[in-house]
Amino acid sequence: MLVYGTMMVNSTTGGSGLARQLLGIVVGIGLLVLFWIFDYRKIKDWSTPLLILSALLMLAPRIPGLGYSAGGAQSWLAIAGIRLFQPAEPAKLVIILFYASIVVRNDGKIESLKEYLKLLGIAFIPVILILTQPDLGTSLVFIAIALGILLMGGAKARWLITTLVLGIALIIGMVSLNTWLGDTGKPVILKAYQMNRLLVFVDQTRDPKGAGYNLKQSKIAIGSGEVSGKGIGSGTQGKLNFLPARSTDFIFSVIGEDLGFTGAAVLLGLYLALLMVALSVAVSSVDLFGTLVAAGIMSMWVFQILENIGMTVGAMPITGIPLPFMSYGSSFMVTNLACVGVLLSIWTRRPFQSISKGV
Amino acid sequence: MLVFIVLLTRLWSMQIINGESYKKEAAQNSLREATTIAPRGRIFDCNGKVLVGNRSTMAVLAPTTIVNDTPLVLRLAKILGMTKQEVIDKATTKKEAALDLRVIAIDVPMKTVAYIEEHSTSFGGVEVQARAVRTYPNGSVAAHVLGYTGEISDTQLNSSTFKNYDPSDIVGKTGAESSFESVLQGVRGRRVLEVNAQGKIQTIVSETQPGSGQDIELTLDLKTQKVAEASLKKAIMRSRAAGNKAVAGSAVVMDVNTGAIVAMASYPTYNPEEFINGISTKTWKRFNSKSSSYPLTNRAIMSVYPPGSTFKAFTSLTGLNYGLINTATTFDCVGYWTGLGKTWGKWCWLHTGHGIQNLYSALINSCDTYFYNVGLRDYKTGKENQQKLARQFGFGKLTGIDLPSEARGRVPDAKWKAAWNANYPEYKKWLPGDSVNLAIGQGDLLVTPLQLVTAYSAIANGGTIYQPHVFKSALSSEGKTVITAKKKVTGKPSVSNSSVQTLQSNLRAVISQSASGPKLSNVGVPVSGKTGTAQKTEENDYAWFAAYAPSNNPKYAVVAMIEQGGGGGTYALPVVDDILVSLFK
Repeated sequence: MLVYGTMMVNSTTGGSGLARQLLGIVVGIGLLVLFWIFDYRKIKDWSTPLLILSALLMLAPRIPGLGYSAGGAQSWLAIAGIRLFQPAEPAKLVIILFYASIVVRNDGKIESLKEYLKLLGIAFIPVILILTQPDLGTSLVFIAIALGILLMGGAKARWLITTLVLGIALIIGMVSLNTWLGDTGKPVILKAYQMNRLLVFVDQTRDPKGAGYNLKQSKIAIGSGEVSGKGIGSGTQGKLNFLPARSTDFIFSVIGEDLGFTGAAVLLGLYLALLMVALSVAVSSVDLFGTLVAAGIMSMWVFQILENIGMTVGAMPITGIPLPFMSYGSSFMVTNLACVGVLLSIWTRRPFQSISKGV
Repeated sequence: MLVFIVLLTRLWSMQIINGESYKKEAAQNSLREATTIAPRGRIFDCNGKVLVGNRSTMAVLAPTTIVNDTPLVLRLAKILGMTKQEVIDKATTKKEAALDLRVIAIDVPMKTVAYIEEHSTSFGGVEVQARAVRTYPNGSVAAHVLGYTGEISDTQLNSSTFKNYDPSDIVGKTGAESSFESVLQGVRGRRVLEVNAQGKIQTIVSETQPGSGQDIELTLDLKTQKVAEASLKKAIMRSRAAGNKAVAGSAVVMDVNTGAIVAMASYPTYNPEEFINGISTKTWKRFNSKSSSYPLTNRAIMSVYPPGSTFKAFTSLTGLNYGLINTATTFDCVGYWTGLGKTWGKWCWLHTGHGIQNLYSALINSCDTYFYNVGLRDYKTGKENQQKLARQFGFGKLTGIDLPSEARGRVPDAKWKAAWNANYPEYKKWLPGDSVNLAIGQGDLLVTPLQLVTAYSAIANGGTIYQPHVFKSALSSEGKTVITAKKKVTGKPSVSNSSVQTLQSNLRAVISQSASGPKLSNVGVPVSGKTGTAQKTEENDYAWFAAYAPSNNPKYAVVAMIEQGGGGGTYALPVVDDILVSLFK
């Protein structure tokens, strides 16, 4: 998958993104090994200080001189104009660890609705923090992580479903309120482009030059790839800039165009395998913390994969979420590889009863 | 797991089931087709002199979207010397395909072109292209025969004739440009370009060169054409100076042995140059107003008139051919004819009377009385021989000339009159007076100058109607003749040779023996012909002269006509004289 992704990043950035991506992979593999060796159970005690550090880092880009703005969000930490990394990316792992530890501290019991709501409330703190950046996509990832951990932690499915339904209702409410506020000329909650993205999801022919344009071009790219694609770097949609953010958010569209259904199906297969591995790690963990951490990582991936691919084919609203191991982005790559390290750490320290039974 | 299946299904439907249509959309995104306009074929006279040529010029084009950019529109208007509204009108013309650039101005000076190209950033989307446009080295000469070109109309685009045309194509609208459109029109060159999302051209995917249209040669002789036009105009001016209302006229020269049109003049005229950049509404209105006397009308083929005494040639033939008279038949002209009874008396043009007339003297003197008698005799047979013969000579029907919008004219008969006056029972009956009027080319008879010259050609050549034509040949790109017009016989009037010969010698005598009016001067060859002065209620007389020469071995027939010009011998004859002098000297 790393090879696949690197190949695509190299092609879509015309080679210019290769160095940074490879740096991300090298740093990421370093972290992976580090996390693998390190006993994940010890992180449990470090999760709160990590969270505080992470929160500080996330606020840092707002300090003048430390921030770097890209794609409408002030989400990069930079020193003297040199981009270092996006604090929100490692924050995902930190949140997983922190959140898993909170649930564990709750004795792993989410029996009453009150406990569920309390834990849910905690999950919303970083969500709001990210929303101020503003980075809707990342905040949604956090919600997915929280819901995944809560589910694995024993929360009742119907509570989760209710939460989801309420969440969607909230978004619809916000859009309606926004429209109403917009009509009366009062300040609005959502930015115009965010509104448009949501509305485009409902009516895909809307805003053909803006959000609708992205979706349309993405669908054209994927569709025109047909069975075997146009060949790497030969897709006209990608090559000729019809696709926006083709090395990051819309890299899947490029895969669809250049490598066709074959390439896309292979990638989906790889993801399925990755998620199966994550699931088996979660199931086979020696303790609840490991299970929850693995579940959190898995939820994060599931959400990112489904949302990213979903948005490129028009099955999900467009939000700026990258595709794990494929999209261009070193902070993102480092974080994902670190997550693999954590999973390996849990896997290595799993009980051996199955093996001993076998012997 | 389930969601993965959903995603995979979605991909399957997009890439495998609907892949083809997405592929088309992707091509639409990135491929632009640009066409290069092929030059139209040129038009030459029968001696290879250029009548319509092409020259290369610069055109400024812009996308429709510039109308949203007022500062840009103002900049363009200023540099092109147009008003803001003119630029907007040109940019929003519906004529061209939605994506195509609109022609804002053509014939833009190189200085302006250079300025636009140097300041391309402040003229975003504006393009400069080389175009071939029509040139008319002889100005308005032969404008009616040549016709003009213009952007293809929506109606034309939807017709099967223009099946492969583009909405911005220039096509022949009238005249030869229209008749020979399929030969003159070239094949557009096509370029498929790959553009990026910003519309910037990346590569040329494929290219075909434009194929220019074929050149054609017309039967017109530029020299004779010029003489005909100049002389016609001079005659009209002279007639007007003499107090007539004369405003318009026509002159046609035809090769009596082939039907080839050597000259065809119509006055007033226009300059086809005015149509090059697309005609302005103001000019178009002027061209189609009564006060300008409709200069776009080709009066030689599109207008019909009573032929007056020029028709007496055919009445003579009727009389001789159907045995109503012979060369010895005489009638006494006392100036007032009472053949239909005293109440219905009719004047001869010479109120004092011509005295005893035979056919020979009647033609020379253009004696109305004589022909009234022939008309009355024909009426009494009840066979409408006059009409029969007139139709055989091509009156009342299209000559079939290879120019558009020809008028049919009219040969009145009992059947026609009954239908024409269907609502007025008291006027439905064909009366002896109708036959009598017809005999002197008056009444309800209407002819085009072209019909008359065609009919006189038949008299000259001994009785063959040739289809008149202006097309001589089409040339290959190497200048070789590839298609040549063949002469086409469209009629052989069943008249006896002796009748025709009698008429021929009488028409020769009309010129050589005529006592009244100026004679043809200096032609150098014997000429045969007949004057005509047709009357129309509440208008000045229509002046006619029809002739052919040389009388013994006829080559050309010439007809001149001036609307409300007065006497044919005085005003139309000099035009024919000038033309014949030019043809035979």
